[in-house]
Amino acid sequence: MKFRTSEADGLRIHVLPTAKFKTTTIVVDILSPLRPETVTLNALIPAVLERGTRKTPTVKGLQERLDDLYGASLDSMMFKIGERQVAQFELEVPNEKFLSHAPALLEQGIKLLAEVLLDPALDGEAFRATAVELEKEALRKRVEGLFNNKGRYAAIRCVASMCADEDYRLFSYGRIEDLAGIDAARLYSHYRQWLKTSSIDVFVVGDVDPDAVTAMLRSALVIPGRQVAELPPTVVKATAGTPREVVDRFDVNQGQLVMGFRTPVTFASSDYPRFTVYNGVLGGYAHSKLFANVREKASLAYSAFSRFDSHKGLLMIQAGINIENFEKATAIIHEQLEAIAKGDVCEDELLQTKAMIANDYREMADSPGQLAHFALVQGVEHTPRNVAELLEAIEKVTVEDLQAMARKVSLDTVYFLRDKETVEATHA
Amino acid sequence: MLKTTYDTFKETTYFEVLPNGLTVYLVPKPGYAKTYGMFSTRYGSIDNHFNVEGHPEIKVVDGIAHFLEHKLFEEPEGDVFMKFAIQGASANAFTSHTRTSYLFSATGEVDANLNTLLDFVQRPYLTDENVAKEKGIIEQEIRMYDDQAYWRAYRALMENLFHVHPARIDIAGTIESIYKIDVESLMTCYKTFYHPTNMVLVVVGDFDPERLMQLIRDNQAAKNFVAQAVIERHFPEEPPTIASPYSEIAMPIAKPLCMIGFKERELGLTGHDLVRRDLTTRILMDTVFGKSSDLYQELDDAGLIDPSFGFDYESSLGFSFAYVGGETEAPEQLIARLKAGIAKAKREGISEAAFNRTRNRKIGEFLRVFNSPEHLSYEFTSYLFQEADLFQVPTLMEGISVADGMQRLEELFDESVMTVSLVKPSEVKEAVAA
Repeated sequence: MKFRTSEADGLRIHVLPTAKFKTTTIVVDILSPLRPETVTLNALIPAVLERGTRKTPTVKGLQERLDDLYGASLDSMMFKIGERQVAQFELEVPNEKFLSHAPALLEQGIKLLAEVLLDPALDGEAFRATAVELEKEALRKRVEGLFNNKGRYAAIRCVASMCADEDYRLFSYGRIEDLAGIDAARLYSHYRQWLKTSSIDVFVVGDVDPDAVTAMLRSALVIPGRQVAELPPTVVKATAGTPREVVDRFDVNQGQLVMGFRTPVTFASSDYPRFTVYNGVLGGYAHSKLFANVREKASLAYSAFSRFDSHKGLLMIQAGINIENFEKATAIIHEQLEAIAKGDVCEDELLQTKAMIANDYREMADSPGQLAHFALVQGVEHTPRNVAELLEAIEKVTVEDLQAMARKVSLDTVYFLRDKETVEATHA
Repeated sequence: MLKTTYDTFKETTYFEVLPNGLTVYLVPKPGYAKTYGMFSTRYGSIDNHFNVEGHPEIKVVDGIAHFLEHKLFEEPEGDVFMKFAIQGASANAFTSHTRTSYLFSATGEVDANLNTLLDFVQRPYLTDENVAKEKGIIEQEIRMYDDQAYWRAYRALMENLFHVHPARIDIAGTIESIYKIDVESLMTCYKTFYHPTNMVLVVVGDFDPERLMQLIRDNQAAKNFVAQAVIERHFPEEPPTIASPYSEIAMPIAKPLCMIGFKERELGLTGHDLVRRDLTTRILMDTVFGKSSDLYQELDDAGLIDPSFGFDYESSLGFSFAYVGGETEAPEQLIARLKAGIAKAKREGISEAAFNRTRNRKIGEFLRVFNSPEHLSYEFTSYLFQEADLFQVPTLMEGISVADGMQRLEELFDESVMTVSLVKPSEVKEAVAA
């Protein structure tokens, strides 16, 4: 399965025709550098655009138009790929051939998507002030609300303290401190600049005629004066300095332990397949060392896993544990890291991990969103990787390769979200 | 094997009840890379008081269905995750109030993975040691949820809604109750509820149904199950009233979280009647509270809701309820406006155009289920367990009118069966900023 790509004005359209799905998915990714000056402005744009267009200036009106398209949905989200901030719009339209009375939905869906992106409700040379103020408030609440999920909060806090001097620390939905300086006129002028200079990829997955859908998108998404700026590469710090400890104290029932490591390995590295296996053996799966030892053998945690951010070269280990088990859990985690470094990986572990990774890659073919994301990442990282080649490389990984990967991992930060008790903590 | 073709959706199902009583559904999905198998038992956290016809009644401690779910993954040779992994499959399981499901997802070795799924669920391996060890893991699972505001709000809502129905008990039980669980009590529940007559296997993927069904027949024929009479489940008499109109919890969160619940009083519905009521309620709620409603617009303009705002209806044999809510800085105002919005809808009626528009959207959204083998297996099983057919959903929806919606509005959204569950921040915000 391969997307057919056409490019004009720095706007790339990728189409994957397939009869597998009963809906058509269109993903628009708008990429810009992740920078403190623009992170909050960028994050506000999709939210304000979704508040209404010139023709349909209310959330209610927009939703009614989507409802008229028989369950079409339009959503947006922000995320980051290394030090690039991505605003993603996703439109999903049912394929009318499975509905009894529905009209042609795809073209209307595309027109509505383009209207939301390019023809917002305005007040002179500014967005509407009420829409901007509401979304500023929503953004503030979203950032504060991160605290409501303790596991996620701990992961974000650990990365933020690890990367305190790097743009990567920035949360893709922006910062509360920037909100006061943003008004409707400033946001609108930033939006115009953002449309002109950002890199834009559009992905279409569904039972469509690629030429026809490309033509529809080309005529709907007309952005005059495009001058696309090159996206800067992500800064990768290959090794950490002296490991730091960060502790947050709240009135919680469970401690959240997060250990952040630096590696020089990224999606573009030749080591990428080897490191993918390393992460899998360590903590990517339910058969992995962390799950087997922290959870199954020592019974210390319900969740214990590792995650590799291949765009920034960060390896993160996380476990939810009883507060008093901090030393025990970190000791067991270190033992697992050392075990791989010493080559203590049995044939089964290696085979299991390779089989699981292969399964993950093959499963992508069943998800329009994952297919679009994988294609996007390859473009952003200037590294075409097809699944067959990746799987071949993964198949070749040996225990010695994993030992070599273990030498590339260095501990940067140990973060612990723990209880509020006043008892003096030994590691605080 | 019974083959059914659904022309509108271009889908086909294959169905058979095996000699041992197991119900099997196969749904071929040509072109899909993954095969998804889901093996489920009609056994959830509420089934804590039961007997098999002709045998004495048994009452068990809280959290046992969920505990059993954890334990079935253990095999004499070790963890079954290891076996699935070598066959390239990811496996998982979950327990709800009314069901326990075990599943795998794989892009190869479908035969081996399907046999593994059937075998591990049908071969309990429980020892004093491995049961004791699991307690620490489940304790951490309970603690993890206890730190999550949504779960706490939802749990309190259930306690407010139900006086005695076991739906008010946490699916995982409590840290205290799980430490009382032993091999014997687990085996008693296992023998009762994991009988093939109480279970359903659904497999979705790109396979030859004839061949796969034969594999399942062979797998089951090789195992001995003693014939079992009907399972009798006992539930205490739940009053139609709510247990409490209000609850409040303080925990370290950034802003208040408020849920409003409404308890269903008519509990006797089954099959298509239950599903029709469920669908009507969902269309109604979407029309009244959804993004295209006046009420949503009003709450949004007033800054009383954010993207966490949501609503849902949970419909089961024996207990059903609806809830609305989300994070808000002003819970009192949100509650007042929601009540006023409901009262206005009752007074002025719902626009037929709005209701039909929502209904058409729901019919379109229904197609998405078929894009995802996991979603399809999950929903298909849910409908089976309610003695209903997932494929009937669009037809049922087309027959639902605004008058049906209005009737639901009157029946369910009544302040006498309304409760509020509030979770409030316990700490100052300065400590919070990320």
